[in-house]
Amino acid sequence: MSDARFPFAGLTGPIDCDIHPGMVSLAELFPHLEGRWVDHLQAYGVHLRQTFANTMTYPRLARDTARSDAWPPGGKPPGSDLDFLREQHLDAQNIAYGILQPLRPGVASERNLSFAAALARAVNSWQVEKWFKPEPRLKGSIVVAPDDADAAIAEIEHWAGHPGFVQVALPPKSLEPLGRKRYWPIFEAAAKAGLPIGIHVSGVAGHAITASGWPSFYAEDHNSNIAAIQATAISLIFEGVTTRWPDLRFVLIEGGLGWSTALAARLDRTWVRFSSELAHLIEAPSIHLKRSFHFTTQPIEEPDRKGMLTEMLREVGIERILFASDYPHWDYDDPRYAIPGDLTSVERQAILRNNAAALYGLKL
Amino acid sequence: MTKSIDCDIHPALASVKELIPFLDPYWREMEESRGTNALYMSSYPPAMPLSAGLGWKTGDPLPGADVEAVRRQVLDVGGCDAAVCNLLSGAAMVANPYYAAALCRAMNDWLAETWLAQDRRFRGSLVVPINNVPAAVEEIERRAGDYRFVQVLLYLGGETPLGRMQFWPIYEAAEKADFTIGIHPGTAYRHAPTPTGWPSFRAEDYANIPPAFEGQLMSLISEGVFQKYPKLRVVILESGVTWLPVFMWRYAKLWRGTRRETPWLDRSPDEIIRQQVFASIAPIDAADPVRGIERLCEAAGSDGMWLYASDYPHWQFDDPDPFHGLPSSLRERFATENPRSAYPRIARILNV
Repeated sequence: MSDARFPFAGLTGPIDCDIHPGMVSLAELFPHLEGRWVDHLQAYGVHLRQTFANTMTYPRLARDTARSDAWPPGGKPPGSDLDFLREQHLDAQNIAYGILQPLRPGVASERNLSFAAALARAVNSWQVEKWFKPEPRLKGSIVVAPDDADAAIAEIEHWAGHPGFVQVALPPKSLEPLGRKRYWPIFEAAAKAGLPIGIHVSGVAGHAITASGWPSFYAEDHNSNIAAIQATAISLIFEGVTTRWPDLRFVLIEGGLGWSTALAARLDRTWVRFSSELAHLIEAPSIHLKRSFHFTTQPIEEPDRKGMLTEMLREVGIERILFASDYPHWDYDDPRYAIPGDLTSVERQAILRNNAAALYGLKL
Repeated sequence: MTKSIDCDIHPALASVKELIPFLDPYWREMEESRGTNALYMSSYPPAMPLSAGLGWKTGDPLPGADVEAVRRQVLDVGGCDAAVCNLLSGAAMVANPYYAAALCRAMNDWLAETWLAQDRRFRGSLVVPINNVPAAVEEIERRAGDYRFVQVLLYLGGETPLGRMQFWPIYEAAEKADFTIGIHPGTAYRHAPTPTGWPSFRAEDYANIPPAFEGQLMSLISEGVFQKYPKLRVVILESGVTWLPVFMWRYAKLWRGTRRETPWLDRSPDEIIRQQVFASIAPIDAADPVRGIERLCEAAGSDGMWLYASDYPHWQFDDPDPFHGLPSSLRERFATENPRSAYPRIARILNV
């Protein structure tokens, strides 16, 4: 493509660490499910801790959460058509690799754990067949239902070594904070498989989405994802997960990153003040935060003042930051514009692709 | 420093016996027969180092319970001309709404007699039964003429986000009487302290406080409380504070994309925060507190929001004055000018 509007044309382009693949309908999963689960899916659907059968408690302000131009020809759902994904995003932006994060169905929050295990296998097989096989630029996440640790481990072991999967997906809104002991066998399995954990905002855990109960508006729900991401990072550090598996990496996806500097200071101050309660934590929490966690760029907090965004990125640590578009969502970030112009070109390349290539073992 | 105001100190009930004289016979008997045991909040168990410093043991005088000691340490040695007393009591969180109302009334009466009457420099925050809004309004109206009370104190973790319409009569009554609304950590634990459930450690609950403040502030703003009550001032207390500018950036951006759901918002949320929200700067989550303050002002685009507080007797820092090195003009702003903006009722009496 030789269009001057697309500066990556002809160059090795970005690695996009957050793309949401869609289905025309859940029938796309049928070939990947046993008969009994096909019937179950059709009769009972996905069973979540939420008010409505077919919509979220806080409906999005954009249909399908999508940008308005992301409907493929023929009106198929956004993200459901590989050709259109290529045309509108992968080819247009010369994306080197795109990492898929399937959000629907909500496997990790499915209350029926036998069904959840079947759905996990189906979604992962669907990623392979519909996306990885025809499109080598696409990689994905092993979806599991964490509340059945044995089934989750079996799922990880099934796909370990498959070149399409670059991480294990876990939700930041789960039944318990992810650092709790019940989830530790999953971290062991991921570490053994050499896979990082991708924690993308998701999950219908049944807990009120704020510490003071249920708010009214979608914007509040959106912001509660940041609370969940922080709570998850805190839990993984304080419980000792990042101590027990110091080489395991956690990618915090779609949770912002500007909050992490204040949090690092708060965690260190907390660790000192509650030292007798956290006696098992030998190193300062800020060291864990800098070592074990990566952050994707979308959505990014945007200061008013010129230069503050760059300062923020450098403070978090350029090497920790991974570009993500969140295609096809309404708050999508275009890689042409998303990274501030006053970063050095080495810093830009790190964020746009080199950090992700190193983390996920992707050849550029 | 002249005319400085300490925006957050914590007097404490040594035992529930102190409260009994302020209860009517029916509630007196309830208290005595049910053994509620002074209603210390789970958020601040009395022996925890954060609550009381190291070395406090049962049998020792409870830090914050001795008027003379507080007067000496906060007012005389600290050099304050006014200190706002914020009670951290579970009275407001009692499940029985009538019991909660009686206990809150008694706590406010206890505060008035035991503290506010002992030294003209003490100011008080009203505790109110958040789950009994008519009684809360009645309590605010009862004390509207007593200018020793300057604030209505609400706690961070309740059953329903504070912006929701069931609480609006509280804001209406507060605005009418010029009471500031203060929000302080302390949770009823009716909900998990995080959206992903219950952490294991008290340290973890503590670390998760800033997102809880985001939720409450977002609720107040998005529900339109500041539009409905344009004179209302809200103070965020003991939050760690360095989370706030980042939240302002994030919410301003989020509002641009989601504002059709909240069409009553007439300006960007960060504008609303700069104009009507204040925050105490003790403790501050920053490796270097002085640099942290400077960055706060820069990042939030305001030096008018920040309030000096000692947070006595909580043990948040090893250095009793973490702000030495701060320019005196800023110290003046935070300890004198800003508190007077945040607490219009403070200047109504005395020479402050």
